Amino acid sequence: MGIKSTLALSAAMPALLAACTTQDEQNGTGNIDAAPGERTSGYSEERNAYFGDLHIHTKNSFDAYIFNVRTTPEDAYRFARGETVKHPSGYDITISGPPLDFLGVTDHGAYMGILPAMDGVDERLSKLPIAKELYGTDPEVILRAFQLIGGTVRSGEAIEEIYDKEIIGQTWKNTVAAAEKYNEPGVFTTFSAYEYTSTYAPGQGSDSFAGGNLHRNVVFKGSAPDRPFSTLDSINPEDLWDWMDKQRDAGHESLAIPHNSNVSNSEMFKLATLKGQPLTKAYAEQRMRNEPIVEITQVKGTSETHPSLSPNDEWANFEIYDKLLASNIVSDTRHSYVRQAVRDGLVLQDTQGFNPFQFGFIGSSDSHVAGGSYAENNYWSKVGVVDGTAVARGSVPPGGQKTWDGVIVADNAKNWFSRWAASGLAGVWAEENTRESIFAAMRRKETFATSGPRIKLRFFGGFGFEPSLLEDPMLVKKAYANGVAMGGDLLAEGNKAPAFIAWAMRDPDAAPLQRLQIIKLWSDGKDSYEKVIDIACSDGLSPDAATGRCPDNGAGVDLSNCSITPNKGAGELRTVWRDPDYKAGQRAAYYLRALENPTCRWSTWDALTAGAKPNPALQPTLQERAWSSPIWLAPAG
Amino acid sequence: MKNWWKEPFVHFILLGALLFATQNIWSPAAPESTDIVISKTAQDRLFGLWTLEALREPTDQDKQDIIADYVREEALVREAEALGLADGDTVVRRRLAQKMRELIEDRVDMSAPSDDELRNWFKSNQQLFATPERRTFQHIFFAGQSAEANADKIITAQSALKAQQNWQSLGDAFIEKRVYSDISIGETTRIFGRGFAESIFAEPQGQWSAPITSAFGQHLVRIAAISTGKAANFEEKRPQILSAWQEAQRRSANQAAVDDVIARYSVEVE
Repeated sequence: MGIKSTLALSAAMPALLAACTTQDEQNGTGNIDAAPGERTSGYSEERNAYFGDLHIHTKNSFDAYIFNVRTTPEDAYRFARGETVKHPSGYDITISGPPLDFLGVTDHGAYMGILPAMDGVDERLSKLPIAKELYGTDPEVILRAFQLIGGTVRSGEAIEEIYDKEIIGQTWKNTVAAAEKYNEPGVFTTFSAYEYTSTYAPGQGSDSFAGGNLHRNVVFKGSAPDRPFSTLDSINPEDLWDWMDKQRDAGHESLAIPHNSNVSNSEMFKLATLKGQPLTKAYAEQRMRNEPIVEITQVKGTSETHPSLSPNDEWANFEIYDKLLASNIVSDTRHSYVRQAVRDGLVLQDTQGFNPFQFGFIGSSDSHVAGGSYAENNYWSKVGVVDGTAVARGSVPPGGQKTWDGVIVADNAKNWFSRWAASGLAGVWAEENTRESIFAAMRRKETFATSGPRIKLRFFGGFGFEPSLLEDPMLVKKAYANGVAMGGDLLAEGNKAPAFIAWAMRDPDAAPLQRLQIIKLWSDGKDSYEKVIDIACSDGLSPDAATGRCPDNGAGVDLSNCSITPNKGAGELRTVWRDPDYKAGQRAAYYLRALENPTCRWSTWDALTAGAKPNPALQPTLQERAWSSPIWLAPAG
Repeated sequence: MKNWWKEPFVHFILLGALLFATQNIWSPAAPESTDIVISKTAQDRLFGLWTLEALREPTDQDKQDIIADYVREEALVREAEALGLADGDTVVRRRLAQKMRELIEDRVDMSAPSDDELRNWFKSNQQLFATPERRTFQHIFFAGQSAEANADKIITAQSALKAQQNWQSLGDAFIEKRVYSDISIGETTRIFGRGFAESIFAEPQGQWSAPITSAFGQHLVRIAAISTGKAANFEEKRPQILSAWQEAQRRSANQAAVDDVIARYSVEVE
């Protein structure tokens, strides 16, 4: 074997990262929440912001175990609560900032727990030739075996000899048990969950993993079925929804959260069913019943929008990642981004009377090492041993070198790892930290996403909101009473333009806020449009009348030590904004985006720590941010 | 014991070696020796390992393959060593150390402790199970980061408080609660940041505080209630105590296992 084949192996390995899945069946193994009616001490009618992560993998995922991940679902919960766990590259990882409020472990349903079983745990499986190949010594053979498995996750044609439903069922049972063990109403909420890892690549065989990413995380409110419904049952997400509907009738309430639409090759939000049939009202209703929220940011990039779709949004180029998983094929952007999907949904509603894309937003990490790296200055990427060091992910030159002169960065680092992000978190507004309350918030889409910091966003829409309300100590109560919160529907009142209360509070451990923006999306009954409007600026500044943008607040970053300009930015920003361009009868959606002052990107922090120059191919700084779920405005009548 | 030499980490070491080797960042280095000698003893060992794994004797063809595998691996390892990877590469070193740990850790049989044993352990670790102090506080919020900018508003609010005006009608709205009930210093830190939380837990009960600055602005705070921390009751917390005891035992046994290894070496720090 020569160098060539080894390189091929290393190149293909990262491809494995993407998957998610499971199977179906009824009957519960799960458990229930705190006794109904009892309130925990944090309960508030006006709701609290809670932060969590609903996308975490452990050793039970096929594409984690192969990269030496040995941490378990219990480890993931311990990590979220602030304890330290081991990274497969040998160092300790601890969450940045306070513990999380809620978490769901989402191992791939397809072959859940099978790779550990093949590695000596299960006698029959570990004696199979494919197990010998997978845990043998020839990288080429390992790669082939691993690709074979990944390829069948995609094709849905299981390798029968390793598709051991008993082991998958037992692994799932243990996953549910771990969630039950760590769920503590009022303190820390857990959800039984798994990933459904569908990848659509019509006409391709089982020999690779590349394709349109249609992955979803399935999150159960309380009790869970005996086994997960995975791509080995069906690769069609519409079949997953049928299964979820059936489970719901049997008492197992759940929702599915699509993610990485950015690498879906225009499949995630395409204007047709999976098989290319026209969309229908029934499709839209079933999709919304099962998928009220989407994940718009995570380690493998942000799916809000893309510069090619939003040329007038100067902040659209944020942590863009566009390679189809495990490949260097660039994903088709058209129906791959959330903003465009919300726009298309408005037009569908106008033209056909239904909207399959009326979803709220969350973020999560998709960490494959049982713990998310949410902070730029405490980053360990995603996969395991292949991107666990700064050199491996292309942020520090190899061999102790301090500059990039003459360095050729390995393809995987260049195209994949260095483009990944220290992102993101799910925010919810819920009365209390319980399954009941947080799940209800997700159902009504009163959720928001952040790129990592614990920025809190309030967003209300109504017709009676006046700027004087900002001075009112009862602002929140009155906003709920006289409007709708993020995720809600607003019905037009005559010709009145809608008004919005927009409010953001910084993370006390992160950078101050720079500006608040409204993203307005609307339909004229035929086409859709978008506009980004600065509505509040830090440092006593106001949006410029001509450009509509906040003037530069002078906040910068010193790249020699990553310090930020002191005394710039705001602890909180709030405003009431009334849409000056509203036209009666217009169907629109509005969401809020809050931007921090610029800070160093993780790759710059990595370089600083190593005493090396930052990789010139990467953006040295970024602006962390938070996104609210939209509020939809429907014409009256 | 697991077949550690077949673990993926070994492959990643090789892989890493090759990756580095192709990057033209080091001038080519020559291994110390280019002779690969496979003695009869070494062959027997290789065939023996193979037999353990395959549960049969290797055929002549198998033997050829085994030797070919060994040569390939040995050559790569020598190249890697020549490049200084085994010495200098932190990842490889850490992975080896981690792997060694896996071999020696968690070998202790965790039998249940006697009642006395557990009680004694609890006595010296009571603080782990104690209930922390919790406070209930009200706050009047003034948005904006500078205390100077808010000075007038704060004075107005303080006069209003003296005049018995309802505190909830004063100051700016806060994005979350105006009354936090029964929360610990950890939870307070989570919401307001460390400095603010420490101030809150130093305030006396009953009266409105002087302005306290958080990351969001200024706050006048009144501590409405303090529930002091209390020691844990052994019987009530028995399951948690047992599980913590087991964890502590496991850790100390693992520590001892590593210490045993270290004891075999004489260490000199120059």
